[in-house]
Amino acid sequence: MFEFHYSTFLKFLLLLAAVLGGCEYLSRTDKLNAQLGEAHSLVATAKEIAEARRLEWTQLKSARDKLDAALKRENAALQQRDQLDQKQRKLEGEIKYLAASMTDIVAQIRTAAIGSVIKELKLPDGGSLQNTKILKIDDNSISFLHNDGVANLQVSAEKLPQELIEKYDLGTNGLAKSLQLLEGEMTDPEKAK
Amino acid sequence: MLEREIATLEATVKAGQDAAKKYEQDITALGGLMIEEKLKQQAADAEARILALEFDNAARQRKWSAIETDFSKLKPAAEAYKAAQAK
Repeated sequence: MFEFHYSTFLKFLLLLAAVLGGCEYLSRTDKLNAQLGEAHSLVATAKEIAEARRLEWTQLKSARDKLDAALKRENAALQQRDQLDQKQRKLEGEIKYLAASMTDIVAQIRTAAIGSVIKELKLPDGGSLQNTKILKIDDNSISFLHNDGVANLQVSAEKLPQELIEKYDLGTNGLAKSLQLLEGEMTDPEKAK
Repeated sequence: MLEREIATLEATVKAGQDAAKKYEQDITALGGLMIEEKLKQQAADAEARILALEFDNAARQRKWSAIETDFSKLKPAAEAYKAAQAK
């Protein structure tokens, strides 16, 4: 008949505990493996999202930086334009003033010279005119009355003494004339090209 | 062993989520994704204005430098002429 033995029962209990423990271990390992798989998946998703946001931010930042750089350059160009405006106003004022004052003073000097007499006018070619009286002075010539008649001596023909050219500011290189030309250039749009 | 690995991965997920969140905050600080096209358009408009300004400035710079150079030669001569006539 069945005989109860403690030792057999104990062995059975131990075996049962081992089997249950093993089952629990395997179950727990399965769970952890499942969690691990899920965690791997989450890591990949999180990295993907972070990378996507990084790219979006990079593009946005790049657009913002480009705009900032462009606005900075525009500001510099506007400042340069203001400086050019100031330079233009200053130069215009100075040139207009000097051109006007030179034109006035040259006109006065030429007017005052009309009728004045030069006893002997030595000419660049070695000749001379005696008892010359100034009749008229314009930008490029002086007309004289002298012992032998009337003479109109042109700057361009190199007939006039350099001293008179300078004194009456004659010729295309005259100061008043040059300043007037410069004044004209200021408003000439072609000059800006 | 597995638990440690899971913990490490969870920390990595958290770091990734934090990074994404930080980028989102930065994107918001810059005005949001919606304004990217607007920013590009504004930059293109500014570039067009700069081009016109720089072209105009360069032309004016050349013109006024040339006039300034000529004037710097004429001015002392004119002043000297006026001074000589005043004597």
